[in-house]
Amino acid sequence: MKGHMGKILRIDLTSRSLSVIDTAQYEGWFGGHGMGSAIFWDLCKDKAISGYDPRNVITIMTSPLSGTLVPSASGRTEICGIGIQSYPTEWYTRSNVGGRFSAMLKYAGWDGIVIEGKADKPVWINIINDQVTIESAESLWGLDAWQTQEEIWSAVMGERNYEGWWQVGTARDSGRSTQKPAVLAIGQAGEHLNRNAAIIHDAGNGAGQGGFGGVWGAKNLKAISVMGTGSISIADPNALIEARRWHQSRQYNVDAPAMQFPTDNFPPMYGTMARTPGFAPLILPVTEPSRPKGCAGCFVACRKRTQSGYSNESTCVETAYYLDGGPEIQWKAADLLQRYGLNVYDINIFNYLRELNKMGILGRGKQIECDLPFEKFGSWEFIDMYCRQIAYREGIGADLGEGIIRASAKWGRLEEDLNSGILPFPNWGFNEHYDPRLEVEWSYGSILGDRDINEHDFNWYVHWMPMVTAAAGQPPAYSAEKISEIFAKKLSPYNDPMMPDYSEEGIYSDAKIKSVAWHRHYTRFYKQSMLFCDWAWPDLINVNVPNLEGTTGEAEPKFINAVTGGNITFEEGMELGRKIWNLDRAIWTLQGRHRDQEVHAGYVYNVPTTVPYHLPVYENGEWKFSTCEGRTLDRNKWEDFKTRYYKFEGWDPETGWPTRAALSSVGLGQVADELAKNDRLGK
Amino acid sequence: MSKLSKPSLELATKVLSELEYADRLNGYRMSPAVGNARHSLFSFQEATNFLKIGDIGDLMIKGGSTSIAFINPQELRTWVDRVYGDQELVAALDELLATEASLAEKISTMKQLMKERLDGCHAVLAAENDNQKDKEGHYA
Amino acid sequence: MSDKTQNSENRELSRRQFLKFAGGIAAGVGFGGSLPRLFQLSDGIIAVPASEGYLLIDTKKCAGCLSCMMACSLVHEGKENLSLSRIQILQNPYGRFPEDISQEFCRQCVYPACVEACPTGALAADAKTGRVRIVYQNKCVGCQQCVEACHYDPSRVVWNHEDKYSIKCDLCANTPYWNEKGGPDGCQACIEICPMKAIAFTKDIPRQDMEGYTVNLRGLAWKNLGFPTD
Repeated sequence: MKGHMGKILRIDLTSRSLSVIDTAQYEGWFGGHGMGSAIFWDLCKDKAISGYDPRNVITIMTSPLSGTLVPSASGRTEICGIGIQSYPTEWYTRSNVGGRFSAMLKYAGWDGIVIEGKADKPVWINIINDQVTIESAESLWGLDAWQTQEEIWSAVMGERNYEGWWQVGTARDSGRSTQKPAVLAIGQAGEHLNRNAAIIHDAGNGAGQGGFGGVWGAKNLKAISVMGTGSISIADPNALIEARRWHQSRQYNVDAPAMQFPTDNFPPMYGTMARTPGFAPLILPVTEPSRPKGCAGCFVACRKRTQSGYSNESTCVETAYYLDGGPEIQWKAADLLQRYGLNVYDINIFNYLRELNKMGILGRGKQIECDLPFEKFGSWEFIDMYCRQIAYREGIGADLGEGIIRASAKWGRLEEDLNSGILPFPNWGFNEHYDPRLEVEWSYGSILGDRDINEHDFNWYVHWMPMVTAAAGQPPAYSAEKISEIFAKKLSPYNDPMMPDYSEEGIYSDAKIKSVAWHRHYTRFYKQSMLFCDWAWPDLINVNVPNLEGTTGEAEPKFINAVTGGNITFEEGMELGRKIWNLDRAIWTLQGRHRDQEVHAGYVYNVPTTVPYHLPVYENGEWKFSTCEGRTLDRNKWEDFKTRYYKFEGWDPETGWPTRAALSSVGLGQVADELAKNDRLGK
Repeated sequence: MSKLSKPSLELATKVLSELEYADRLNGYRMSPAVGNARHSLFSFQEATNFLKIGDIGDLMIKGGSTSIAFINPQELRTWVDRVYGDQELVAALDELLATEASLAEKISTMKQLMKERLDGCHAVLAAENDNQKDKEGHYA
Repeated sequence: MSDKTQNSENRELSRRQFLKFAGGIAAGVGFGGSLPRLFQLSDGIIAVPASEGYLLIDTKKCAGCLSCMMACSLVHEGKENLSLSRIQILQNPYGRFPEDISQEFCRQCVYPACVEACPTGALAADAKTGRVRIVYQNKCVGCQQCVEACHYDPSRVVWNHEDKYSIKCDLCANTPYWNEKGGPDGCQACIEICPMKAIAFTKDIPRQDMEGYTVNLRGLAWKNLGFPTD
């Protein structure tokens, strides 16, 4: 299909051999995660190996949309393989990184990269169009992720800070560029095989979850650099640009934002609700001059670049994890993560460590030896030392480099602390992201999968909008009933108006089953395979237009078909998502998954909520927003939900394993054969 | 207008001390796209400093760029009662709990009350130190 | 700088007169220290009328998303290729605002060195398209003199290494892959697409200094987002 470059680069680091996989072999998977899982299925024969094993197959995939004008679907890259973060099993997992790597990989003529084996010495991969070499990384090993990228730019471009056209490659008419190579690199954390090591790109883009930084470290892979001067064919260029104009005209207008509210002194809902430029550095009171910064092809530009250079391109928790020392330290702290290549979600556990310190268990000369200066918590000295120790596995970092879950297990505290909730890690050893007792697509989807899902599809609308408006004593931007109405319209193929009901009954209802399924399928195809960005898609409810309706349902097929020349429908895309979800389920099944493991941390069932947490609920025949206080998940109801969910997906309710019927329904009969061979086929 | 009277020396001493682990109070930072992060508070001072709603105007304009540092008012009231036995402050909090005030207003008022109590305690301890100094010609 | 030019027959012609003839009034046009060769105005004179349109880019408003580059190659070449974009955005992820990004685009120079350098007349100020300095691809022999001649770095004339001719910003006068009408009286893809509305169009020759144009497209709405407007 158009949008594909036709070849996938396959690298065996052990033998240092390079070969090409014909993209056509996997064309039906489109790209990203779907293609990655299909390739992993074929190439990783023993799926029960550790993520550190050289036989682990890592895929780094683009989509047909990468490098094109499709809004907020052009710059992201999907990385898949066996991770090393999840607990107790190292599940096959995924991580996604923004910026411009996938675009540049496409321009170089590649749809993706497959990495197998382990190099005998540190290496980096140098891709210049179709010329690929494996270079020694001995001079890079030990550098942080930023230094590594700058060194590689010099090596590839021949001159640091070159401004202007430079000849790319040595072949005649291989083209010129003004762009720098796009690089994925690990920092010291990955070199030290940390389970919370990230892969970093440019200044503030990271593939954080899953510990892929440590997997690369185990393979002696320091970086991959790509430079391309080629062209991506587009089936219908006019349709593409017109679709972009259509979608963009409905979004936040930076010069003339739409005023939707009755009172004059009530400004529009900026930020997370209207997708304003620069909203990504959350709770970071950036008062210094800055600009918004967007990934390749993005219409939102959610990041920033600052006058000081601190927190460049960083988003979300990276800019909001170390708050106790004031803004300036908060800004600089983001850059520690990016340089060392650390997953902030795993190391953002200060409260837990402070509590252990306060209990007298962790500290200088204590049972858990730790020389961090807790008396200076909030200072630069503390965070600098903390990140450094973890990255280098020194001091308390020797334990924390294994991830906090394994560290807590080593300290003999895991079960107790997960039960009380002082270690709020509800799913597979991943940090709590949204309340697992309430916003259940998140907690259910995570435990039925491989990781904290980190997919905000519903979250912006059902939780943040009512939360922020209520906090300020203002009416919601739209009603709970409106959410139900629009969700019913847009969440095909289920279209159930009860899907956004988060009441005590609603979270176990059949509508919630559909909600979880919709979420898994939509994200697997549209966001993780076609690579529509989580912070711009799906476009469900839009405060910038009078009828409040986003473009999802119409937009995705419009863009995909303009690029590929196909005629996929939204529902067909959802079916592909279901297919990919089933393939992943089969992989986890071969890794040992069983329904008995799919239970959240104890606190989710034991400890009631105490913080107002706004969500729509349908109670007494009407829709409204509730603050959901005093609620837990019910163990038995969760077990019952699982049974019904498995049945809905066509999986065996006894085990949670996919059945032949389910797999065949999505064309994965041979996957069923493999499960049967391993006595893991659902009945 | 002051709501709270001058605290006793005993109360002031307790208010200005660091607490044991068992006497901690739970605070929560609530921020868009990050979720709610618990932050344990081990002293009255820490709890007072922690409370934050950001500027309401800011919250509206930069919804995604600001945060709320929240303490559950009922939990605060229970904590003040159990740990400090400060019945006057408890009564003031009871009054607040009975109102229909918005979250922003509640956080703001709680912080005001706590700050007032804190200032009062500092004043009492400072005065006591001066007394001791006068009596003995040096600090006790 | 003298405001009189001398032609080969010693006739003097003031700069202002020349420019009036050329179809535009310029105020303080400068070229960053290097002067182009002067156009003579008697026999063998090539007078290049000024373009009827110019792009203006607010360098502080740009978000470095490269959408303009993707749009440019899409509408002109029917494919996505940053190396074939006639507008180039250069950036340093570790740089400091506002020096972290620069936007390099054709200024439709009043004294177009690229036009002058072309030996075949393939690069000209086309009367039918508002005097925009464009390349007639079928006349281009690929000598790349135009690329060399451009006073700016990176050159605003782009070598199309796939199709083997030069290309340059034509204000979307010729966009075979876009149904929208372009040129100085129409739409420009980069302007339409830029999500920050950091690119504007003007019919007046912009005032520029050593660094180029200073354009400020940031108003109250931008300020409300917490960004600087100076």
